[in-house]
Amino acid sequence: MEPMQAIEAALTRIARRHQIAKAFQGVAAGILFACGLVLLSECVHKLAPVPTVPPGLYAAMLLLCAAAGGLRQAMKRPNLGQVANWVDQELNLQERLSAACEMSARGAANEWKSLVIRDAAVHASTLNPQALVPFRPPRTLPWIALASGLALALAFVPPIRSAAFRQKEQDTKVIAETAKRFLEVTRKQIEQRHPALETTEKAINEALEFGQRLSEARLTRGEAIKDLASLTQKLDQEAQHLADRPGVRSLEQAARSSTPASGKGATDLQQRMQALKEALGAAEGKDKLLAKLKQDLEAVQKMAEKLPGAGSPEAAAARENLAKALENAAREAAEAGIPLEGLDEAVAALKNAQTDFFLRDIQGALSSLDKLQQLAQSLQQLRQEQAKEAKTLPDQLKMGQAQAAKQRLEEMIRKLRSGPLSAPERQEMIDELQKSIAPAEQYEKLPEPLKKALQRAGSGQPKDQEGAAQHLAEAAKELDRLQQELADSDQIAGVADLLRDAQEAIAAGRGFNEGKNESRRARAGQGGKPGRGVGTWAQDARFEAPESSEGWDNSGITQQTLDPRSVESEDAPEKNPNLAPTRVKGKMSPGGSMPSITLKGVHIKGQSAVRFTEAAATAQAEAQKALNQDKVPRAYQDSVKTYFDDFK
Amino acid sequence: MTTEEQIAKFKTVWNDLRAEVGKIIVGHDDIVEGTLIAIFSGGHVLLEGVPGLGKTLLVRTLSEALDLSFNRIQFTPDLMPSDILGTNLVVESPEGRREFQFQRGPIFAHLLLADEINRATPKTQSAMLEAMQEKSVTAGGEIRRLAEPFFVMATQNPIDQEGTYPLPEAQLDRFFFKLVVGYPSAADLTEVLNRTTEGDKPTVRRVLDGATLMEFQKLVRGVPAPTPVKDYAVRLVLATHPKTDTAQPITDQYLRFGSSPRGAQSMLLAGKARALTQGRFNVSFEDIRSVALPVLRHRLILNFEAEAEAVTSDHIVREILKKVPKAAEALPA
Repeated sequence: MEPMQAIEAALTRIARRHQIAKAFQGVAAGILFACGLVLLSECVHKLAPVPTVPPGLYAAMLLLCAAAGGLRQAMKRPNLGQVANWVDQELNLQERLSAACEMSARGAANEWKSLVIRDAAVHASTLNPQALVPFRPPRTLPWIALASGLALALAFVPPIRSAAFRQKEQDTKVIAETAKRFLEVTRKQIEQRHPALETTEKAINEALEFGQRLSEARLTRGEAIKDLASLTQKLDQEAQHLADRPGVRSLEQAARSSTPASGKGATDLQQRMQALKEALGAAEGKDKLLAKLKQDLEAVQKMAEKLPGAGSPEAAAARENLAKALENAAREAAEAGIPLEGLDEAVAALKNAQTDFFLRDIQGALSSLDKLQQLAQSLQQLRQEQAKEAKTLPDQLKMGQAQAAKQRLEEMIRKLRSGPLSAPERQEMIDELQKSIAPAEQYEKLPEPLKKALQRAGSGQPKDQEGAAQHLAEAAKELDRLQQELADSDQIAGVADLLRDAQEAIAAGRGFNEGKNESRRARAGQGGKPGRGVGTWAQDARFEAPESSEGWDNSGITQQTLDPRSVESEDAPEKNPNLAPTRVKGKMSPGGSMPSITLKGVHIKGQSAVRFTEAAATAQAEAQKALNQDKVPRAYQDSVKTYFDDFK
Repeated sequence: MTTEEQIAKFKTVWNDLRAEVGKIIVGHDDIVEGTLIAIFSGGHVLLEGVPGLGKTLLVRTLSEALDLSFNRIQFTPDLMPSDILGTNLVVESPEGRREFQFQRGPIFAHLLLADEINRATPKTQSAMLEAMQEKSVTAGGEIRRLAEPFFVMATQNPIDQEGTYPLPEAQLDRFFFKLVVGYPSAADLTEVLNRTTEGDKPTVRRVLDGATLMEFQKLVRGVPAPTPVKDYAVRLVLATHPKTDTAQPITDQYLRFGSSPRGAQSMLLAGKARALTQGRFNVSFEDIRSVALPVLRHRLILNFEAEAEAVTSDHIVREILKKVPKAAEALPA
């Protein structure tokens, strides 16, 4: 190898190694830079209300900075002259290598050039790149460790935020959560029933758009409540406008004054009854046997509690009697096909003198019997409600049972189209239609097709029979229209109620709780009226945000409506002793003087996170709602209105 | 003879010269080395030191070791320029005609010892300007070339001594090196005593003639200097220029004038000679640094503040050497 080639080869090796070493240093510098940024970002986040950076982004930034730092250094490739200078200085080679490099670049060969290059080549042959450019840990390593440690430690330091900011964040979260829940519930409602009228659809879509906007935009609590109130009012007006139509109003009023089993409720009732029958199984219609079995088991339980001590002959005899009684009860239940869990186990426990197990099993059997009795009772109630179902068209129209009336009309149409009616049949239909005219007067255009159908049905001609069927179909259609309008009105009112729930949730800074503001119409359910049924927890589905109770200490308050309930458990709950009146002045009498009640009040610990104006506005809204929904006794209404109107 | 052979010969002669001078001069290695470097570079040397330190002896010894003509002028206040350069005398020719004839002064020699040069008046001191730079003498309207090689080895007492005339800046600038001769160490002094008070006086062998010296001077000029090294020499000189962008803070503070371009030339040339003496074929930063002080110290004109604070030009040069980085272009950071 030529001397200059040897020099260049040695310098190239050193240059490459130097480049790699520098790239490592660059990576470390990049990491340090990223650590600095992370630290800075963390500090800013802790001190200022800026959103935190997700760890993934931190990791990406770290990688990016490390790569950029490494690349930046790797891109700086030194030329051989620079490397020669550096090596000369590092090894004190008295500029031999740099002189050689420079002279080699000069064109003409001369003796000096040869001498310098040969001399440099001798020294270049002794160069050891590993010793000259060792791969050392980066100098920035301690700083990286320090910055990383600080950043990690800072992650455990809670951010410094003002109370106002925390409240605002909480509000935003509640608003977004409420809007999201509102959207879910409303969309579910639309899926269950699509609005029939275009105006209804438009109004609901407007509510949905608003909900979407609410979930996306960062509104203040005041703005959200204001917008919600405005939209609620608009929807209320829309619902009221629909409900005020004469036919719809009549249908609703008639429905309110009749049974809940009417209309769509009839099918629902049938389904519920079927479900109860399936649950009862062989026990259906055996109420007396169930009562007898319960009585027997209770007697056995009492005897078992008074059993004499073990080992005595009396105890053995008593256990024998108990076992016989139990076996009889078990046999009777088995013969009736009633499954009683734990009865056989109780017999076995009794034989083994395990009184504790015996009592536990007996209790289990009694619980099973209780459940069966409750189901039987519920079935009985549903049967009573079904019995109230109107059978004839006049009754159905009178009771506002639009669905049933429609079904009856369809039945008549089928009969008319099935062939010529016999005279008694025709007369019966004519009578029914005749009687239907009067109750149908309240349903706008319904009497007209009924009258026409009556006229055509009276002639007895097959052609008129078909005409009568067409008129009856028109009547059914009219009924359907009224029913749809009523349902639309209910649906809008339902959405308005949801908006009110949302408004209340946002104002109170708690989670959205739909159903709390169910209007009378919505609760009546498709023309029915509120009634008791099998206990359900569905209406109490609460969607409290995790931090929604922050700022209030409600430990002194118990809410009975949240307690588990069954058929019987909806009876008047026990009042909170804190809310019991201590002093009552005057006497409550409608139209008389307003009684004065002094309450102890509820002591709520902690500091309110809600402004007085917002609390007052919420209270006013709730009071107004309660007044509108007749929840406040008439005697109190004026006073309540005055009291809440005085809030500034 | 090839360059390599010349270099080898140079090294041999260098060692021989050191050895011969070493027979007479005890210690003062840097002074001896500096003087020899100046001779091989073709430059004049100003030796400064209090009387009795061997300045004159050094020059005399050198003249003995070099096979060159040697003259000595003892500078005194009444010395006239013509006493140095020579003068036209009216002489009668054999034909009986009277004509002017130039009588050469002592300057017409290869090696001139200007002893105690600062004892002469500035007028007389300046008489040597042309000779030192142009290596010629103008007398009676006629330019007369001096024989080459021509060296002036001047000695001077420290300028603050009684009866001295500081050399003018132009005169100083013409000296390649200014070497400051210090007191000998105890060991050196003992050796001086031994050599001068016992036994025979050693004799100095002539090891170098003028022609060979001229060849060596040419050889020295051929030594390659890498660009960064040249750049370093330039930056050092530029750093001595006060009130410029390249000036160091100490320069601005204490200097009235900095080095002339002769300073840079001298530095590089001396560096080349030194490289050869070290057995190298190229000039290094170290060469430049080691010759910077004798090259620059007499070329820096101190201001009043420096005089007042007793700051010497040596201190300023050392400070500049500390501050000016060797390589302007390092490896990418």
